[in-house]
Amino acid sequence: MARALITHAHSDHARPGSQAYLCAEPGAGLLAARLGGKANITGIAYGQTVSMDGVRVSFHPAGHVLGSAQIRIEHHGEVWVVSGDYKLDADPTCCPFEPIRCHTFVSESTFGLPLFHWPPTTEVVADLHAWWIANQHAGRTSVIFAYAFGKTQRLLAHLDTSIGPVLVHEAAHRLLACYRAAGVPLPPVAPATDENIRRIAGRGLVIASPTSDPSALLNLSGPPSTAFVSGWMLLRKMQRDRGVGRGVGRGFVLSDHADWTGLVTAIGASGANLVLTTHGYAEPLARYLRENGRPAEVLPTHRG
Amino acid sequence: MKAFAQLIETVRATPSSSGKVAALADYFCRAEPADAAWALALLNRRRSRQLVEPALLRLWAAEAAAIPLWLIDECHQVAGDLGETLALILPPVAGLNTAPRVPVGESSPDPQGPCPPAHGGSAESALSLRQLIENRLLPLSGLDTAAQHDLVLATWAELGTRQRLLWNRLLTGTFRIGVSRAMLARALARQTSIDPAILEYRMMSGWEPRAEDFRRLVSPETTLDDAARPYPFHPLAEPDEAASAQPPAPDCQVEWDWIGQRLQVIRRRGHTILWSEPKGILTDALPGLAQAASLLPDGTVLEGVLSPRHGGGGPAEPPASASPLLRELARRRTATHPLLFIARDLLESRGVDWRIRPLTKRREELERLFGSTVSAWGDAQRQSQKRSFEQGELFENSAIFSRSRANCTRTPNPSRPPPCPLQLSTLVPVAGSEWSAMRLESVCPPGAAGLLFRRLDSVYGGCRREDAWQRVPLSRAKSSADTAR
Repeated sequence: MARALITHAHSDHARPGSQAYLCAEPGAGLLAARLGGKANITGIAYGQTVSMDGVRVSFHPAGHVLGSAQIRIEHHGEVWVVSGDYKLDADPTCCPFEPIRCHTFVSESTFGLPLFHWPPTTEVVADLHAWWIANQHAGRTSVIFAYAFGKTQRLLAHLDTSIGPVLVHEAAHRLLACYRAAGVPLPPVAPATDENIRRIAGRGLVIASPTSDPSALLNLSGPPSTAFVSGWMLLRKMQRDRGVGRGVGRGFVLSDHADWTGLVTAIGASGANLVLTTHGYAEPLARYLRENGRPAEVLPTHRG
Repeated sequence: MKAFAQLIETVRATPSSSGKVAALADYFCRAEPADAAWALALLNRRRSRQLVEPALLRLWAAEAAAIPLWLIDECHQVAGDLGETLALILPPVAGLNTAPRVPVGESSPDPQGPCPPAHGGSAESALSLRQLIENRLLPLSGLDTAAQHDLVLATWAELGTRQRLLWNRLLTGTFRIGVSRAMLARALARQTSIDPAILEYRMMSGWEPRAEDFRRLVSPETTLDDAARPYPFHPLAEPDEAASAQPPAPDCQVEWDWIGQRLQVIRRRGHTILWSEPKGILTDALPGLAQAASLLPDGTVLEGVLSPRHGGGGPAEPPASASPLLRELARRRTATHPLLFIARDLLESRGVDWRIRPLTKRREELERLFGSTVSAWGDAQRQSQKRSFEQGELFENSAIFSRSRANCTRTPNPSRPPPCPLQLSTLVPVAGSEWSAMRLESVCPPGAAGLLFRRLDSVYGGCRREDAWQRVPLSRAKSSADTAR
């Protein structure tokens, strides 16, 4: 592409290879870190409008991760909003979602079924703290599997680090500088090197990548207590798939995506007379919207 | 209720059984006896039956959550479980549409009414497990559909997601959890410092999910029923396919290895208990055997195998390769035939634990016991036959008579008593010459799978190498005899 507009820096939304990138200012550092130093990236402030060939483009907070944006596109008075990924729940690591009025709203639908209602974040974090303390009493190291970009930093912002030392996966640790540069206060934490893990064994908490192998930790810290943090952990089927009850001890429900109520609320707030649903349970969400008097179509997710 | 729902969640997510036991012990330690009694009943696999049709629950949940049915079905497909789907789609308490179908005041769902459901209630329920079951679940069976609807919705409105899941499972009779009775006994033992074996035994005896029964269950007082507790079974090794094709060592006792349920016949303080692994107490299920066992002297515990009556006209076990139909017919046939107890060890005699005495001594005592018991059985049978004959004369046209006559026609010689359902395991001679001359296959009784070798000096339940039982499947035993020949 000659010019790519990026909602946020997750790899399924930001691919290398374009000549120029435009994104929301708080996410520019992250995007550079993810795409490599050579990418031509321009960050513009939330709400600021740029014109390109008669199209007015602006970025507005989506509340998904640091720097995530809904992209508002206006041409001859017709307004579209491409929301990327978004959530309505409070997140100390990014600006809150901002509803934008538009004619056409492109919405994700990762959790687009009424199964998904997120428990209050404070409740989840309290459970997580209790689990950590119980592991300390049992002399076990706590290991949380969470995505390196977004989830890890959100967890860090919520964690009570007075309970014990915290280590983060090295890939996630590299991104912390971008967060601090964007003014997000995060507690000081060390990277999860072998030596550090040995040091905090039995009392510390390690935030590891979902793909990392827990058996590697066994030699370093003895048998750890493990947990997986994701919105999918709401479903027992997904918990089983992730090994809860076998290797993985717990599933904590915490998501950076909107739940069912969040999706319906955001779509309602957009005032759009056409909703395009994509990525996830797009079909049932679109049908539900149509049956409730809001025209909606499925926009096939393009994966290239 | 909240604590119990949390316990279920923890037990499900904990991989190790020691972790599960710790969670259970923690729960029982904190719970009120009335709640603990119900919790134990549920965990101990007392299934609740289906009280509400799942299809009705689906309709009611759609109404309460204001969601179309097709969307519920989409969700069901993703979650893979209706109880869980309905627990999740119901919005948080305040958003629930719980308009009653029965006008308030016309019908009270709870006649005792100690816990009226709060419509559109507050954030979290204070319902205890006992209240949920006794005031909400059990009354459902006596209500019409409209009243059931109101009670189910009102209860949904009071519960959090986890509790709703439990409630849905109870409603549909699908509550299940991977906790064994032994684990429950271990958990309760931590709190009460009573031997888990005693607790397990008490759990299997009659009790109702009531506070007083629970207190009695975990009471440190050793009551009469504890005297009936069994011994742990000796570890039973897998048949040893690779057993050496040698004649058995001369210091071994050789007997047939029977297929069947392992059983202990316990006779103490005038009570007879038939205890099997893993089914527990079978005394009521095997009245004929229990009657014969009651002839054993007090303070006796025998160990053996419960086997269908083979030989003597009884049906032979069809091979595993037989068609399912054939096997089912054979199963029904054996079900109508009484079962035999083949005693192969003696664990207690005259109230003394004999397990640590060598096998030769135990066998001697076992044979002595059997001599007197079988003759007592013969006397008892002859007496009872005489009685029934006399009764038959008295009630010539009665049903009792026609039944006893029907029995008589089936028995060729009515004066001979039927074989005693207690049998002594027969020994297979091991002297070198006899062993080699034997054609094991031709003398193997039906129902025996092979040979069981035990050292003459072995103790019961011991874990030394010489205490181990060796089981040689028949094909291997046969070839061993052939080699010797």
